Amino acid sequence: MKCSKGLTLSELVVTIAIAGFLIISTAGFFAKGLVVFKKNQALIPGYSLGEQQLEKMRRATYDVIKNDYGLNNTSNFSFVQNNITYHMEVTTRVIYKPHLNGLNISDGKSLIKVKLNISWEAIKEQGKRNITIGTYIYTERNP
Amino acid sequence: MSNKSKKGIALISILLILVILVMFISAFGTIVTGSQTFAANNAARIMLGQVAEAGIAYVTYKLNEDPAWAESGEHTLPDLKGKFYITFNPDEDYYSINNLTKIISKTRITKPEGTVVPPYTAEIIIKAIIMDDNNRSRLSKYYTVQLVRGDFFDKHVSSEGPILIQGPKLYMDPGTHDKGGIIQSNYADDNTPSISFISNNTMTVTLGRYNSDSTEQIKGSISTPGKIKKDDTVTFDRYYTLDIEGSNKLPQGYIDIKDMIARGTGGSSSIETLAPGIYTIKRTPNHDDNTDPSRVTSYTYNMTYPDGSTHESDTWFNIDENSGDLVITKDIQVNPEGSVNNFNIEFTYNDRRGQDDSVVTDIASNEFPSIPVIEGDEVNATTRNGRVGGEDDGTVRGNQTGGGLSGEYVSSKRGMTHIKEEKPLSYTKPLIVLNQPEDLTPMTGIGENISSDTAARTPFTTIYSTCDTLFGGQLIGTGTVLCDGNLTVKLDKNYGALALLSTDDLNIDVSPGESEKIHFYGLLYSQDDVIIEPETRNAINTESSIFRPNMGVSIYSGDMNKTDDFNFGSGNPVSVKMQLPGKDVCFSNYNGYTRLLEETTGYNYSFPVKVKCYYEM
Repeated sequence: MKCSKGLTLSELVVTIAIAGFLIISTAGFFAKGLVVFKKNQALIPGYSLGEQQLEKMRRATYDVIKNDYGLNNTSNFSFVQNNITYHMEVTTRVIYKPHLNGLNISDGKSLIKVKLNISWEAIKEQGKRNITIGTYIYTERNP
Repeated sequence: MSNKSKKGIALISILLILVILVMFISAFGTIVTGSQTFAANNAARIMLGQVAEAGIAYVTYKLNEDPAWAESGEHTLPDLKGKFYITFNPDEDYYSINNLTKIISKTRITKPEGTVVPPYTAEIIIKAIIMDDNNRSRLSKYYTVQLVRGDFFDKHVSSEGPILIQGPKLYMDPGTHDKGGIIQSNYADDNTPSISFISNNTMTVTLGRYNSDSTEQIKGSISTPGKIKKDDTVTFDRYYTLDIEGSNKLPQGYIDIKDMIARGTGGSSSIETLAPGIYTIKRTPNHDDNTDPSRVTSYTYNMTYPDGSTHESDTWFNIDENSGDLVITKDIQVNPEGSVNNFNIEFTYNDRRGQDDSVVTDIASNEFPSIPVIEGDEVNATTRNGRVGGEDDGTVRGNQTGGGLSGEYVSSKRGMTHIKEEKPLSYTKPLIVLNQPEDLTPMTGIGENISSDTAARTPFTTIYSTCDTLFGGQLIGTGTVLCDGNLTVKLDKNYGALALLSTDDLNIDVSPGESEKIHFYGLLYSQDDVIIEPETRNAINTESSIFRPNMGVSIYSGDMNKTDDFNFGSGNPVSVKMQLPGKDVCFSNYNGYTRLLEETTGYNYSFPVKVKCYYEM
C-alpha cells in the first residue's frame, strides 16, 4: 500500500523534464509573438497621428498651408507623444491653384496633394517604424 | 483501485500540460496573427479612407469650378498606392449624377437603381482602391458623396430673418416643380414673429395648386421654426395652404458675391472701369428762336461724370434721344476711391420725351431683350388675359398653376426665350436699360424644354460695383448687377430678366399705382435685407387691379446684420419686406437667372458646392 501514495521520483523527474522542455521550446515563440504584437500595436498611433495631421490640414485655408507647410515643398516636423519622438515629413503639391482677381487677390480655392511620411523609434523591441499616408485637400475660399 | 492503475501518471500529466500549452500557443498565435491582420486592415482602411477623401476633395473642387462638371475618369495617386474612379456613364453600375444645375429630379437606372437625386444636388459615387506593391487592386470600396448648392432655397421667398408681407390683395405662389409654394423663414424668436401678414384690407394667401396631370392637390406651406402672425383681414386658403410653426431650419443659402465680382472682373479686359460718384443725365431742350421760342424743337442729352466732364455718349453708354433712356452697352466696374464709396445714376428729368416733344410711354414686348432659360424651365405657355398655361394651338387651359413663364414664347437654339405679350409695358419716367443681347434665331420651340448644356454663351450686361449703388431710373433689360454694398433699384415691370445681388441691403422701389403691373423675372438676393416697397410712400389706390402681377423671381435674404433690420409694430424686426398694397402677386417659375450669374464670371458662377454627407456603401 505504501508504494501507491504520491508520485515516484522518476515520474516527477520525467514530468518536470518534459514540461520544462516544452515550456522552454515554446517560450521563444511566445516572446517573438509578443514582439510582433507590440510592433503591430506600434503602427496604430502612427496612422492615428497621420489622420490627425491630414484633418488639421483639411481645415486649413490655402494661405495657412502656404505659410505653415509651403507649397510644392517638403517640410519636416518633430514632436513627442508618450515619450516617443515622431518625425513627420509633409510634402505638398498644388494640383489646382486658386484664381486671382484683377487685383491679384487669391480666392483661396485650391486642390493640394499632401503626402505624409511619419517615422519614429518605438519603445524597446518595437524598433523603427515608418509609414506613408496621403490624400488630396480642397481648400475653401479665404474667410 | 489497484496499483496498476496509478502507473503512467507522468504521461497523463505531460499530456495535460501539453494540451494546456497547445491551447496557450493557439490562443496566443490567434492574438498575434489577429493583431497583425488588424494592423494591416487598419492601415488599409485608413489609406482607403484617405483615397476616398482625395476623391471627395477632387469632386468638390471640380464642382466649385464648374457646377455642371460631369467628367468620368480614374485618378491615380501613385506614391500613395491608391486610386479613385468616378463615372457619369449611365450604362455603368455605380454611376454618379450631377443635378446641381438642374431643376428636375433624376433617377439612377443601374445599380444601385432607383436612387432619386433631387434638383440642385449631386450624388457622386467614388470607387476608392488601394493597390499592392505590384499595382494590383488589394482593397476597394464605394463611397457615396451627396453635395448641395450653398446658394439656393428651392422656394420663391426665403430668409434667414423675419419676413413681412404687407398689403397685397392676393399672394399666390403655386410652387416650384416638385412642391407647392413655400414662404420659409429660418428666424426663431419667442417674442417676435418670424413671418407676418398685415393688411388694412382683405388679403388672401394661397400657396398650393391642383396638378392636372396627377389629379392631386399639391399643398404649399408657410414654414418657420418661429412664429407666424396674421391680421384678421388675412385669410389663408386652407384648401392649399398650411402654416407650420416650429419647423426645422433649412440650410442657409449663400452666394459668394465678392468672389463673383473678383472672378468676373479678373479675367476680362473688356470691362469699363468707372470712377465712383454721381453720374447725372441732363436733358436740354432746343428751341427755334426764329419761329416760336417757347416751342421745343428737339432735345440734347448728356451725362455729367463725377469729375465734372460731360459726355453725350461713351464706350459704355448712350442715351436714346427718342426717349431719354440711358442704355448701358458694356460691362462696367466701379470701385471706391478714397472716401467716395457710392455709384449713383440719376436723371434731372422725370418724363420720357421724343425729339418732337411728344410723350413716350409704351415699349412693345418685342423691343425687350430675350431671357435665358435652363433645362426644366417651362417655355410652352401662351397667355390670354394674363393667364398661364397653354396648348400648342394657342388655346388656354383654365388652370392658373403659374408653374411656367407667362407669355408667348419663341425659343432660340441657344437656350433663350423671348417674352412676347400682346400688351406693351408702359413707363412714364426715364429708364436705365441693360443692353439687349444678340438677336435671336427663333425656332418652333413651343412645348420644348431648352437645354442649357449646348447653349452658347450670350453676352449679357453686368454691372460690378464694390460701392453702394443707386439707380435713379427704373432698371429694365436682361443682365446682372453685383453689388458689394447697398443696392437700390427702381423696378417693377420688365420683360427681360435681371439678377440683382448685394452683400448688404437690396432696396427695390416698385410703382405705387395699384393698376401698375409687377412683371419681373430673375433673382433678388441679398446677404442682408430685401425691401420691396412703393417708390413713394403715398396713400395707395385701393381699387381692384385688372392685372395679375407676375413674379418669376426668387427672393432670398441672408439677414447678415440683424441690428439694421426694418422694424414694424412694436419693434418687430424684418429682413424681407414685401409691401405691395392692393396688388395681386403671383409667382411663376423661372430659373434661367442661373445663366445670367454664370455669364458674370465667364464660365460659371461661384455658388459654393458643399458636401452634405458621405458614406461607405
